[in-house]
Amino acid sequence: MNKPFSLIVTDTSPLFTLVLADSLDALLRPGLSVNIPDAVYIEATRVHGAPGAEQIVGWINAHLDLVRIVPTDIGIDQQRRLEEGRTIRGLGEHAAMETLDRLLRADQEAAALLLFEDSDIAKRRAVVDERVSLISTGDFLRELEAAGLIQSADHILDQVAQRGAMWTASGGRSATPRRGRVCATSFAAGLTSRTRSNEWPADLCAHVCLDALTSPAFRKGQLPIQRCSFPGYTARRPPIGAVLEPHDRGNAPPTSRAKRGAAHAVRGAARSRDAVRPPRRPLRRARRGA
Amino acid sequence: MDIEPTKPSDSARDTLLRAYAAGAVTWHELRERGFDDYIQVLGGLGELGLRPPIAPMSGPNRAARERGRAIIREALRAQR
Repeated sequence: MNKPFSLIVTDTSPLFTLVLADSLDALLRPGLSVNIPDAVYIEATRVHGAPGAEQIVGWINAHLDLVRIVPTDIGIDQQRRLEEGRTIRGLGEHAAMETLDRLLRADQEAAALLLFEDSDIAKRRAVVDERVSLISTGDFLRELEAAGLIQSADHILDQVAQRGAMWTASGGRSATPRRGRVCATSFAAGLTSRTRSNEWPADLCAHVCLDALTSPAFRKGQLPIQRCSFPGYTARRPPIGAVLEPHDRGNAPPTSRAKRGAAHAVRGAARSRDAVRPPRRPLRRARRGA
Repeated sequence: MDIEPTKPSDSARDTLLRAYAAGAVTWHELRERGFDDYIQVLGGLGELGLRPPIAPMSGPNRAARERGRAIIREALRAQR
């Protein structure tokens, strides 16, 4: 190869995919310099203590000869947005384009390889420049597979999805439990022995509507948890911050205690602003008049 | 002013993830529909027993992708 190719990571997704597969080192196999725009780096590592973040930081520090964080104007904007509590969605890609632009302008001989996420590369038109080539995470894994450096790209991706699910279940980066899988019976009975803290949004768990939890619609996974101000329920609610573990018997029928609670909750929920009121019966007088 | 996308409901989330795994929806679109980060997507796919998609060699970037694969192939060969 004559040209000095640089691999530019355009998004967090290839990093997360590879970190979940314990395969970040695969990025170094081709021997190209790896450029990670600052906005991509921040987006991937900004949640302190989040799984994946520490591995990515550690991996970069272990390979400073080949991996470089590229400062960009977009990265500065991202910092400002974070401070102001504004969204930083999609800034990684913009930062990657800025990185590419700087790289190509600085060196007329330079050529870049942009690493994209698969679905985006398949549908969205990326840059058109003779010096720029593209590759997706999947393409990259396929080439490693063809070179005999990994057993199978599909196997890696299966592993990634499995570990992603484990991460989510153990309260990963975005630790919102799947509502349809919370055991309604345990929750309604006030069983908190199997709860864990820091996984359920505190403002939600204190006001879960028992009516919603014990309704058939919820047990079929069709009804999201609603907020409810029913005092009978909130008196024996689980502590704030507690969460019930996802339960295999999510479709189990409610216990008698839960049923009694549900009856109260229905009355309570009728007073709550989220309750759906049944249509009022017309007054007898009005019916007689009709 | 930035507009935060509304978080998808559980059923909408599953539908989106299935569409994503099938290659019908892009990661970019998932983000626009309320997915915060890619870990969320990978976790959701795992829960559904799905895996992230590998894009078929077609579409608007085909030529640039073929060049990219050739570069990686050559670089891997050179490293041996």
